[in-house]
Amino acid sequence: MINSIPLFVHPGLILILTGIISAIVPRKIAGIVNVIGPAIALVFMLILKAGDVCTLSFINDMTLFVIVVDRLNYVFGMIFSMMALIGAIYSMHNKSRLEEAASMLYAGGALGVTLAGDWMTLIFFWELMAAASLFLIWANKSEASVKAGFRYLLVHMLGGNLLLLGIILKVSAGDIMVSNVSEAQDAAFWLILIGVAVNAAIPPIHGWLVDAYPEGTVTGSVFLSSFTTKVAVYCLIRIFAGTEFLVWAGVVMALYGALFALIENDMRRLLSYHIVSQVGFMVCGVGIGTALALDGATAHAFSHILYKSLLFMCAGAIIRATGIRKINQLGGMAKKMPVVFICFTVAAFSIAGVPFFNGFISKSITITAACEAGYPMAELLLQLASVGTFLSIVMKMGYFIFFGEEADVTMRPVPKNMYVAMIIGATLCVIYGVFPHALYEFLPYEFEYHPFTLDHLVQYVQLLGVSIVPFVMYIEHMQPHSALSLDTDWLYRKPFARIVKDFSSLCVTTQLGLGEFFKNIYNDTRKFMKSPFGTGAYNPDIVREPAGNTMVTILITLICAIIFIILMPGQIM
Amino acid sequence: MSKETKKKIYLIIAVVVIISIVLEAIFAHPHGHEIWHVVPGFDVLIAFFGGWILILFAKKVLAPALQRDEDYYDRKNGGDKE
Repeated sequence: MINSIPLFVHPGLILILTGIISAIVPRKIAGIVNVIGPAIALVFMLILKAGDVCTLSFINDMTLFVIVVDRLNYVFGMIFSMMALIGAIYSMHNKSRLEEAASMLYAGGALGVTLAGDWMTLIFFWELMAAASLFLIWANKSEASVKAGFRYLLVHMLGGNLLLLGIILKVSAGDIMVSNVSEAQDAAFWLILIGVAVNAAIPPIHGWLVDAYPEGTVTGSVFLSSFTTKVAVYCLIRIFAGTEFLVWAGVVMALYGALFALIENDMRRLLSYHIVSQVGFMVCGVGIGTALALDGATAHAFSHILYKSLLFMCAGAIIRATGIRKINQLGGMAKKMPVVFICFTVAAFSIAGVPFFNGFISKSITITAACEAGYPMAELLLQLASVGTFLSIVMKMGYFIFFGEEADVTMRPVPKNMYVAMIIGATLCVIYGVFPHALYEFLPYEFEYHPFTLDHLVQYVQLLGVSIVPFVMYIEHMQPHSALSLDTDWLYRKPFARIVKDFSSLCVTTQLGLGEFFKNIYNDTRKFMKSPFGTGAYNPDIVREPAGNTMVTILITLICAIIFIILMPGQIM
Repeated sequence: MSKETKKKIYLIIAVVVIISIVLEAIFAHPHGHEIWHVVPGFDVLIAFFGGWILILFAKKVLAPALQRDEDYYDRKNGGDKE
């Protein structure tokens, strides 16, 4: 049933408008505008229902399907607009207009991609997201963030252009609507896949994420961690459901992120590795492609946005209060920041999949789906990744930041709105964890799943409880130390940068050399013309041609031209 | 972390695990065919050995191979320390 709706109810456009307004109005009002806007967007998003369509005429008689709602994008739209509101509350104290506006444009772009029905609308909002998110990184204004921002820009320009190329192929072949392309593995398939995979941070093209997200502002990182990768997951579900090799790509991601997180020292970089790891669960679900697996991926994206943003909010609050981002410089924070500690515990239990927290109700769906669809090995490896998540977030971050040796740090007060946002996030993590059907009833496909069977509960108690043992046994060596882990971004930060540098210096050298060469010829010629016989001083009688010579040349040329015109009229006419 | 604390932690986990294995063996209905679905308490092995594998691989293989000084990318000449 198709139900036509007007454009102004588009929640993404409301957020974009909010961003523009908050950039113009006085600073005191801007924070409030930035909360009211997402609240309105959330209400409008909830009012939308499957079957709502909004079209817009575009150049060349094209019709843009700006809004096409179905059950899949409804649930993603719901969480994105919820997250925009939580993020806006978290950043209410923010003084930077640029950042406020960018974060709203970014969230609006994410909703635009989610609701888009055709390829052209999708790529438009996709690029808006990439551009707006860049300013969340640059807003940190450190040298590192400016550099990381440029690398982020280059990677996303590459990804966006590949996606655009794939979309042009699709649209010129007559497929204007966003649809599953996994049947024919043609050029468009690969181009769109790589374009989306850049945003989903599928290794080896995930380096931008762990490079840029830790460099964003405290508040900007909360937005960054929520949208780009999850929008890409939504696109993967919509476009690539059932593409089998994604199962293994997802498993690799899940383990890769968990392993790198174990040796990471920077709080937000560690959390960024866990974005890679958790998105791996979703990518795996997309690859499996059964109704249960796709619902698992959708549910996990929903839960992930809540707990991951909460983790980034906790890390942000600690950075805001202490100015420290390295785990090894922190310790004993549980006493100093009890609220942050409680919120962190909720988020950490959620991401690890502790029963009755929201990670459990979604992660276990994907793992069960892997088992039922005949990928027992994938199931086992995802369980291993869960163990890794528990080790690096609950145990490593939890122990070394909040307990351990008490660090001597001076504390600055944390704005109240940050606490409000964190408490909202933590409450939602628990509510969805205890009442999973609040989420399940919105999931797009028909499925039958009961998370709280004795079997599942016992399994997770054993899996997570026992994984404490190796950590405690090895705890003396688990303390992170100041170091930087190389990742795939090394490829373009070192060898590729070297190639570009060498090539450009080669070009410059060639240019200078050639310039010198021709300058010498010119100078020599000039010198020769001035005094061909080397008499030295300038003598006009020798250098200048007699005037008659010039006249003769002109006359001969004229005569030749006239003869040519008379003899060959056909050639000219 | 003192040895007493460690012992307490091991004890608590041991009690929880034993209870969970008993519960699993009596009441749970595994719905899978692989060995880790059928044998009660197999998840204990996955967690214990899996945990060790992950920790040791990260600390003994990844860290020595991939970790550099924090100013690695800022140095002008090539990277590694002279």
